Amino acid sequence: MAGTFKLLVSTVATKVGAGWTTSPGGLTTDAALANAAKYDDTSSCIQSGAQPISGSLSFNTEWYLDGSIIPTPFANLPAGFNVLSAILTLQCTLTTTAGYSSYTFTMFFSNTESRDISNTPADRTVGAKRYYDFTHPLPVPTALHLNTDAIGFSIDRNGAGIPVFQFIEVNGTYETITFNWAITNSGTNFKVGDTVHITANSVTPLPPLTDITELTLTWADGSLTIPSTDFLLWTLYTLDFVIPVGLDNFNGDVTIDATVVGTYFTGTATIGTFTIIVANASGIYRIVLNKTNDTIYIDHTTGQTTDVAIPQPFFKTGFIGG
Amino acid sequence: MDNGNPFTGELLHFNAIRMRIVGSGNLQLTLNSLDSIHSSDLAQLAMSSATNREPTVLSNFVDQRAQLIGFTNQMDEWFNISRIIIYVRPTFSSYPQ
Repeated sequence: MAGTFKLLVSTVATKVGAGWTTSPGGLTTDAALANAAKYDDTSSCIQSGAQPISGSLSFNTEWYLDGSIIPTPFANLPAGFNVLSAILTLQCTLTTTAGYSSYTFTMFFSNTESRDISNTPADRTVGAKRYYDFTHPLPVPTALHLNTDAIGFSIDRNGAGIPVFQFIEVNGTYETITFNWAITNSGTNFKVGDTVHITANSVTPLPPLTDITELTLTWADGSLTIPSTDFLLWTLYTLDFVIPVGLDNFNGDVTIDATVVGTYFTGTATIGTFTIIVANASGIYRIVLNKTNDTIYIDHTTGQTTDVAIPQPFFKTGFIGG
Repeated sequence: MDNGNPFTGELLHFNAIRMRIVGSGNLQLTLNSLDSIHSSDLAQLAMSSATNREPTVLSNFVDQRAQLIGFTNQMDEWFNISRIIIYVRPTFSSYPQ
């Protein structure tokens, strides 16, 4: 699945420098400035005041997917959302002044990035309403990056004119990545000391298993963490670990959650569940007359038992023939 | 067959099994040749804990010698066998030399 997205201004993140007001209205509140920086063709942000003057405005944004006019909360973006491209667009008008070279303005994707990752258009035509597009240098910013950081613009000027910023926004394309990490021997009746195999499927692009920094095992009454240093085998496509001794006296389902720090995904993902049937594999065998099944004591601390079939009781004759 | 020779090498046709058997569940039956080179799964035999019948299971297995194997594979199945009759007929005198 693929589509387009747009980031539109929601609120002011930072306001640096004096003289920021709206036009028309001359309002100075953050809410008014944020409204003026949206694409509506009726209002603008301006910076007026004695020269020389400088300052910047940056804005938090909202996500709009596939042309929708209803914003999508970041937490509700489609699973596997991956930004393919992002272009920052600024529309502004530089009013007449002694020379346009006296204006220097930049546009940026992020308040936290170096201003080297920003754009100062070479063509700053005075008098005309102009669009300026800026493509983020590779790598393309992640959705998390775009959501957390603020887009904005800054200006330095010496001339007498007043810069008018009509709107700023980000347009881009995205895809949704599907991938699968799974326990390949999940049907096994595990016990402490057994090896659990996790594999990644071959979908491209593939978040590799090497993005996992640790695994967390969670069961009914506890949890423990397995750091990557304890992984038995750890490649792009295969991860093995040994069920640790902390699960000695437990039988039941154990959930594996992976903590991931990677290019495609950062966060926590549930890989799957494995089952420990027998907490303690050793025991006592007792022969009982006319018993038609085996009884396994699955937890010696509670005396819990389970009945299973006797493994294929049989008879066989000798070889018959002349 | 030559009663004076304990093994004359005839190829035998094993054509039926009859048992005196009680139990519960289904008995799985297999005829195996020496070293299990050939085998034949017979129809499973539904068992009951009391019966007036000695059931017959047909087979179609040809080899010099055969071994009958029976087993259950579900929990709480059981069997008690007091007699097995295997019906055999010589078909060929021997394998080619």
